[in-house]
Amino acid sequence: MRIVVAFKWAADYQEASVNGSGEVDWSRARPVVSSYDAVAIEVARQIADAVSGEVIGLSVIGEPTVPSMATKTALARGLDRVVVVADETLNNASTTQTGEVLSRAIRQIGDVDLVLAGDSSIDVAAKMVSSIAAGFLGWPAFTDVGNVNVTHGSGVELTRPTAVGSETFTVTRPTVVALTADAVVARVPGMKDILAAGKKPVEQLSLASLGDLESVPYTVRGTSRPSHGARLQKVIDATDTSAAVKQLAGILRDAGVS
Amino acid sequence: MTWKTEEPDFEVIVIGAGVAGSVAAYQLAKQGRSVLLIERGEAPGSKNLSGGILYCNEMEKVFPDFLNQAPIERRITRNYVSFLNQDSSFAIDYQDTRLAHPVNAVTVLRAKLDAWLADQCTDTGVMVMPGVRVDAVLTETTDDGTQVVGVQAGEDKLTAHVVIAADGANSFISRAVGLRPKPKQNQMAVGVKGVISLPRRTIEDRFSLSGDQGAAFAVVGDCTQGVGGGGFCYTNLDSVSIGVVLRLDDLVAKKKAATRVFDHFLSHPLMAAYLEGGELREYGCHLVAEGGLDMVGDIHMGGLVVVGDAAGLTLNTGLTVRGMDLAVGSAIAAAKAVGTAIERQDVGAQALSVYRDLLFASTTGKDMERFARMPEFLERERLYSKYGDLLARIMHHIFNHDGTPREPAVKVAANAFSRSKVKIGQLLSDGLAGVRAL
Repeated sequence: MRIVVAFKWAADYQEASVNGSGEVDWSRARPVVSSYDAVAIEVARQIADAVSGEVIGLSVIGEPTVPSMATKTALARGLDRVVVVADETLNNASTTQTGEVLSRAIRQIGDVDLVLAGDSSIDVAAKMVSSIAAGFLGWPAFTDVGNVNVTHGSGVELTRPTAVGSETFTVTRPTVVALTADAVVARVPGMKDILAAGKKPVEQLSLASLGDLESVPYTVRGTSRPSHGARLQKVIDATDTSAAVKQLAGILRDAGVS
Repeated sequence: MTWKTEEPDFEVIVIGAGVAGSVAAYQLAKQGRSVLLIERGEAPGSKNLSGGILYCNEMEKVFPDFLNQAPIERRITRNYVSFLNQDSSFAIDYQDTRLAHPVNAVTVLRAKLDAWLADQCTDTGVMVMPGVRVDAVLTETTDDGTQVVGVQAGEDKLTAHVVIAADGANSFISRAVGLRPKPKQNQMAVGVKGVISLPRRTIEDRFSLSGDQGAAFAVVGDCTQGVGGGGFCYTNLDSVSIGVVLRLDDLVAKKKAATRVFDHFLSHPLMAAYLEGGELREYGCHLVAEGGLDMVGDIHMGGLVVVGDAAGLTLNTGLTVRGMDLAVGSAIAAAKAVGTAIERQDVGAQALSVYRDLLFASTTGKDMERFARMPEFLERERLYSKYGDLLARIMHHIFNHDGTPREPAVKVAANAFSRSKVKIGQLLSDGLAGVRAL
């Protein structure tokens, strides 16, 4: 079984900060393989180990060269090899473009049975790219999947938690699946995993080799920050902790927080 | 002779990608050694914090073009030493453009500097491995005693001819292997530091600086609310690093909370004026070794050398606080000793004792010896409470014209003296001890 895991080398929002005027400062945020993507890699690895399959990482990067940290970090988490489409023109690519590029690369890789992705990217968090890629491929797409079960010969069984229980699907053809953030607990790569990662194959695909894209790039005209409403402007003196707790509870109650 | 004939995973494994670890790894890789540099943080620099400025001469021995290539913030041309009281302060303000020609000291932000150092390592062939916490070193018993032969993290074990412990002031590695004792409480201090964003121009105006020149403030007295230690403040390009370093034993004895002392320092009128309108960008706490030479102790054994903060190599001379340059100095000595030991195929305790010899023959080791008495001197209580008050009393008599006839300066001093809580004998003793310690 051949599984592709789509992952994104994206700035870690935990290191971004919001300044007084509401602007987000990303300058200090380092790129990472997000915890969402780590979940997808872990699920893929577990399936591949169970059915002796192959796990291929796939990423789209808006830079001319692939940062070695990006591929090493992902490979250390359990991928067998990585394929990257790296091109400057993909910098700030739209979700549609990214989805289409992924679909082309998946076709190029060939014989793919299952595509896994994390819940969303951590920097844009559109939660759309995996479905768009599926659309371009003409494959079914499932999002918010909590469990993937693969047994030889009987297809892929997907379980999706719902508000009242869960839904289970059995899919017998290639499909794209986006996982919930807590589908599994991803392992922390050990020293040997990291060392081995440096020796695994990394293949770079040129955008040109994927043919002309159909999707039309769009331009973001503007963004605005959400208003946070009027602030209560209450300051609690915490010298006496228990009094402060009571005061806080009182303020929350009065404000209608239950 | 202690040497294992089977090929290890790496010739050298360095634990900790701070200044000492990265520089040691870089130099060994330059010698052609296979080096693994392991860092606990998600990226080199993410866990590191420095409360001092970087004196560059050691670094320039390793990277001749350090000043132009490394991400440095400002070149220090203004040193400001202040005794701070609640409502007054007395300062020595030494500003000199000669300090920038050639450049003597610079400010750095560790997140940037350590990332740069790690890049230099990678470019030289070091395998840099962030996000891994080393749990223990692997040891074997030989005829010469315990020999360190590798490291363990989780279930993974990797072997090396030599392990370099550069794991910071609290070095668990050298403690676990029985090389170094747990530091005493009066040898350790806790540093609390914030980085406050301010526009470049505002910093230059407020601190009277031009271009990429920078200022370094060392403050004692009310900044620590009487706790042994001091406050510091220095300028980066578009931020100010400010914090306090508090001796652990005194902090506990005086029942103060480090974060409260930090807040107090920042809101003191002297500092608040510099910081007004700034935004807190980073905030962190870190342990600082303050024991001086006494704390250095054992820094090598079979298969292991200890460098930087982990070896107790920090120096508070009262006027300057040093750590990073000593880290580089120790890394230079360690890389040389370890390289030679591997070359000669003997990595036993005796062979690695060359590290200690090289260290104490270098400026780093000599300075540690020179200031050996300083920690003891700095434990003198009066420095943090009474002298600032005494100086301010004298100045007040001189500058406050209250309409009464002026008194001779000697009498002013004597009066201020008798009203302050400092005794002549104490002053003489402190003065003498201070001079000796310097």
